[in-house]
Amino acid sequence: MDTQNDETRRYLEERQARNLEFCETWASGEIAGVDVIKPLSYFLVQALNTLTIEETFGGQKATAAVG
Amino acid sequence: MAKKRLLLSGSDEIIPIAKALKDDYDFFALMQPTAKMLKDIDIPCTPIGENVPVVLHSRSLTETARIMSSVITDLPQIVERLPVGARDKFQELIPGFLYQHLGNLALVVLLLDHYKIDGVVLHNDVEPLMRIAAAWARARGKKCLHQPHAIYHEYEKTAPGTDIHDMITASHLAAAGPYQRVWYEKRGFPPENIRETGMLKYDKFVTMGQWKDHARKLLKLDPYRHVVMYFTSWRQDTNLLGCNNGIEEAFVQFLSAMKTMPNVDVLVKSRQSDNLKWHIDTAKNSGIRCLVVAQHLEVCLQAADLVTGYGPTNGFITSAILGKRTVSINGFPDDPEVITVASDTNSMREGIIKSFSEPVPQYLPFLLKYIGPPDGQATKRVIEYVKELFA
Repeated sequence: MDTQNDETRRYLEERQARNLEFCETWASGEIAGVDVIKPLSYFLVQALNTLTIEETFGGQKATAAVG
Repeated sequence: MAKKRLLLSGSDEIIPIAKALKDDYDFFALMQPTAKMLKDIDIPCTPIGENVPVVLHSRSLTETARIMSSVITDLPQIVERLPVGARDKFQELIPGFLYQHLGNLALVVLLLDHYKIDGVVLHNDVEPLMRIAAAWARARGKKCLHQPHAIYHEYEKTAPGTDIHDMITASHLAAAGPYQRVWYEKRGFPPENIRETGMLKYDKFVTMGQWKDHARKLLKLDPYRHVVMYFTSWRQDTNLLGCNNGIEEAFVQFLSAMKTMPNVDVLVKSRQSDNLKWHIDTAKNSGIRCLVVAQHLEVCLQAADLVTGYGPTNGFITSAILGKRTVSINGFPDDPEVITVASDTNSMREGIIKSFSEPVPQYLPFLLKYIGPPDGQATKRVIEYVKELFA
């Protein structure tokens, strides 16, 4: 998968923004005044990103190195 | 006077903080390994998840059930916001996902209240346990210092607000350097709550000196041959945009490049979490002279002449401190000190040859940009900042 391609890049940027927006807003729930749903975004966005890659590229990987 | 109660997360980077503050603070840890690490050096630390009062555990489950029932009632409307292809999986998996994770997060909230924590120091504020601690601090009007574990270079690939790491929950930041300060300011972090401290983990590299011959003896490497070291990495699914062709593919291409350079020894520095066995097997099958090491980072760096790896791994910062040649696969494209190559055999080979044909770069501007002055004083600056914040 060529994520350096401009068209692909724009598409993935837009999808990534939508995925994150969904993960940050899909539900809310407070315990003792603290939102315990938002911290789940980290896992949920990984899952949605993986689904996006499967849907768009038939399972090929998108990778970004860190660390 | 009663000691203040500080909640900590992270690994050995927090040891200097704990050592310096142990007379004035009681320490609590989000995770068991952090507490054990401190206990092993005789610094008391309470893992908050140990010996949980039954009443808190029960309450966390009750609260979890309350939230779950609300979410599941709303699920049909929620999934309509998702792309069609993701709806079925989301609907099927979300109840179990919530059941697994919400209880833990609820319990953390209740435990932080129970232990009357005064302040929080985290190594990130985006993973669920860390983010809930930062959110708790915010809700209670407590300070939460985030001292990032990385320089975050790669995430600049996407616009602010589109990566989970852009979701800022901590109240204060110990920035690695000017680059990271600007990065966070772009994402809305209040400038007055950021201090450039440098990163603790680099202090030891600044002061460790050079001992290449000794390191090569330890690793049984030829003292007279060039050594090229490869940093492995891992897949980061939180960001859809990364370097093309992937981490595994890049490693295979690297081995192919090294096959064309038989007079060079190859050292691969991996980690258990980087799919270590796959890297060992792939290196073995490549037929080149190669040593794969899962530990002893300092020894490996000392032994190397040139360091390469996928993307902007923090290993390039340590390599720069130690004056190694650096070749990054798709990373650091705006930094002339690091040769950036594509993830194909020819590009890597040419980059490595080019690097060996040039003098070792003067890395000071590079280091100033990412970690501030490499003076070995980051630990001191972080401790001063912690003391100021949590006095």
